[in-house]
Amino acid sequence: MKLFFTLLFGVSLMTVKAQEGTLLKGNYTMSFPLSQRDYLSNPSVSGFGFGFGKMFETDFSLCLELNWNRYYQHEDRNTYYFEGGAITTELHKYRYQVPMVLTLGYTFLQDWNAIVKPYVGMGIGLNYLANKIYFSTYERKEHSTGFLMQPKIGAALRLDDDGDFNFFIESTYNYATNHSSELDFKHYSALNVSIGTYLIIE
Amino acid sequence: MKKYYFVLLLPLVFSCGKEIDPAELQDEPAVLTLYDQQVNFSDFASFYIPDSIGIVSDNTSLYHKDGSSAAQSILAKIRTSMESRGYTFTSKANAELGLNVTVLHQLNEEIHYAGYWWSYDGYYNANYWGYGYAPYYYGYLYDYSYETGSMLIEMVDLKHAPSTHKLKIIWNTEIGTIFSNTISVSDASRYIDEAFNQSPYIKR
Repeated sequence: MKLFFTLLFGVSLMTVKAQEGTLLKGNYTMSFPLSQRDYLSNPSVSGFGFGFGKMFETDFSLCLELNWNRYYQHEDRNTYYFEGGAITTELHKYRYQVPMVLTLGYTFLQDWNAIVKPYVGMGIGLNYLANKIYFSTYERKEHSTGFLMQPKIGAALRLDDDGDFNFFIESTYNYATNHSSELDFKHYSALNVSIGTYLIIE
Repeated sequence: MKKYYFVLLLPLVFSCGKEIDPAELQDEPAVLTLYDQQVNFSDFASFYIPDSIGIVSDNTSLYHKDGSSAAQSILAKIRTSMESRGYTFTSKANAELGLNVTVLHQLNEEIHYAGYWWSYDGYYNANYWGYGYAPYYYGYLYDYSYETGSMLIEMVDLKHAPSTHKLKIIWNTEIGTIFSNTISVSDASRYIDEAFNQSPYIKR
């Protein structure tokens, strides 16, 4: 079994003390919309996030996380009909997605000083969502805040001997209760993929 | 450990960017049409359009009528569009539909107005159509923002005005920022076509 972990995660053959300390993280985030795709389907390639929390000796962590993503989609000039009228215009659609969650995480192989440490987590919090449309010189905007559930999986890559400085890649599924009568949706979901680094300060 | 702190901020570099500047979008004005869904446009047979475009502003001293050749070509385009839908151009006294054409000039700020706002002493107020001070009103909810350079075309029900003593606007189009600095007057023809193409219900 030790050979398996050695090959798979680069685990050293001796255990080290579990890490404990303040957790700081920063990440770049891409986001893929899973709902309202008929309105906006382009992924967001502009995003970032920060986290601040505590890594416990039990390999659990609690982290307050804030992410920000901006989506953009351009629609060529077209005619859009509505009740009692129509408009011909090109559209520039923007969406801002800002989840704020408290995440309880668990990191595997922490005690083994592994090079690669998988982790899972579940975050709950709020999701702010703003949709803006520019057409000609006009602008329409609507925004909402909803309750958010955010399960995540990820893996950390140890960058120093102590395991205090780590690269990570993670994916979160965002399901939020944001709704809009104007855009006709009752919930919102998106898949985020993040890469970044985190520090554990003892 | 402190030497790693800056790494946490690196993601910000990859997230930079800004939204499009709305001023860049003036080259492609939006064309909006609204209409009274209770109206059967085939009930009308004739129309009249004035021989000049009203220039209005939030400064009433700047009100004037533009009868230039450019204005004439725009008015001719609207007239042709109406005739192609089966309506007959006739005198003002006999017309069942009236068309007001207005350009919003030198607005210092966006105006939001739910109602008719330029029936001051100046341009095509109700008196122009021979109805004294009968009020204009829209046959539908209309609350829109105007910007400098927008052209408005409004279709007025003259057929029923003698009995209602009101001038009801049954169709209007706003062509946004068409007379901004970057768009020539000749482009108006294309946008007038778009307005009528959006409005297949306008037919005799």
